[in-house]
Amino acid sequence: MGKEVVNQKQAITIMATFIIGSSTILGSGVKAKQDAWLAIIIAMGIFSLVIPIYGRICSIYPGKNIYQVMELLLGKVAGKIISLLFVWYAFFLGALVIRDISEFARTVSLPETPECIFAFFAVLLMILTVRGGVELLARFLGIFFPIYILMILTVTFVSIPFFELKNLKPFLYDGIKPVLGASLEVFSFPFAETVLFVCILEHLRKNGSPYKTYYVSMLIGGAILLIISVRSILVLGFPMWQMQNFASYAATRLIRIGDFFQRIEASVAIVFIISGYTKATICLFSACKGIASIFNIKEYKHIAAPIGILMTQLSIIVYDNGAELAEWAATIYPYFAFPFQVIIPLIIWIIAEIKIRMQKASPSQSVEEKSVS
Amino acid sequence: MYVTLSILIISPLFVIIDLIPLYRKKEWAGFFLFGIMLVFSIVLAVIMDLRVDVPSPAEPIKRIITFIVGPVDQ
Repeated sequence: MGKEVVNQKQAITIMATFIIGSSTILGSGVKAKQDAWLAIIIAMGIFSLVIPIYGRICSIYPGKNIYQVMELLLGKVAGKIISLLFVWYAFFLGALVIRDISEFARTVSLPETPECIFAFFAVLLMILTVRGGVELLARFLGIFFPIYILMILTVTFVSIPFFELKNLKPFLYDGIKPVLGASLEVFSFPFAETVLFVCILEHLRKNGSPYKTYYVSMLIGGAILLIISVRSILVLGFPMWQMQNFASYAATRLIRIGDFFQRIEASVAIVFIISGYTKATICLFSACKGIASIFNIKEYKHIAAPIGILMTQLSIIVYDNGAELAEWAATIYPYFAFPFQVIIPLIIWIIAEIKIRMQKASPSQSVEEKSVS
Repeated sequence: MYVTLSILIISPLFVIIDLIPLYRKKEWAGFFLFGIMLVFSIVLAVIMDLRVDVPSPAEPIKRIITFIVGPVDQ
């Protein structure tokens, strides 16, 4: 377990891909209408206030993941209960992402194929990745991260002739309130989901800093989200943008230069498959580590397969149709995710700080104190 | 039919590369956890393929949240 090591750059590529995740096609900040760009910027501001908590939890007990820290701080029973809640969040989020992937594939390209077939074979790849370790994912993204960033930028430049600047007006037509609501939604949907990385960053190399990883990947991921959202609004205009299930896919579809350069919407699909796969894999990682820690199993990799299969089944039964998915993600999800993203990390952080202060006060535990500081 | 079929295609691979090593190393916690989860998922798959309406966890979560924060609108 200790052998897997990723360096700072690799950690940043994984986290940035995770943030880009399924927001590439679902769109972010839809509630704010044409001011979605402002909502994304405000969400990045809110998220940068939460990062110190996550970073501190990662670096407070080096070499231990969040589940072990929970058991250390809260005791065996309470720690296991909180771990189980956290595992539930990772598990449920993974199921939602798998559903996004299979729903997207079914809608745009494979209407006749049963949805579960695509989902199960996507999950097969994810389970094999989890068995291979974080390093495997990092090396995969080392190849594909530059490729898909280049793809997004190329598509953006190519769609410049289709931009209509009047689509961004009027600015703040309904006041600031819907923008703030949308920014909370953007905060909870891609950004604060990176709370799952508090159990991945134990593999970060010793000289890497979790704070820097979080901040840099927030900037990269946020910039890409901003580019994609603004591009979709400029091409489609607001009411069309809200109506589409997969807005950026629909926006890219319109691009047509000459008679030969067209149908480049496949690029959006490629970006989404790569980033959605990364996101679901991280969720699976997190769930496996949590379950292994709860049941005292040495190797988390060995139980990846049944957890992945159960996750896929949950992804099939969780919604009846795509409209329910969109509605749930927009209305209920921010409230559902808030305790896991903010409240539990905040409690862990406060208890950890108190415990460290108390250890420093008592001289008998000076050995532990050295390892902590 | 498709859910059960996909699980029956995927799971033998992991039984060979995960479950049998767990048995050989005598790690019973992992072994039984794997077995129980796999059996549960196959039972669930058969139930899903018989077109029984499996309740979704999204519904109770929605009810709890509307109970706590009040009605959630678009």
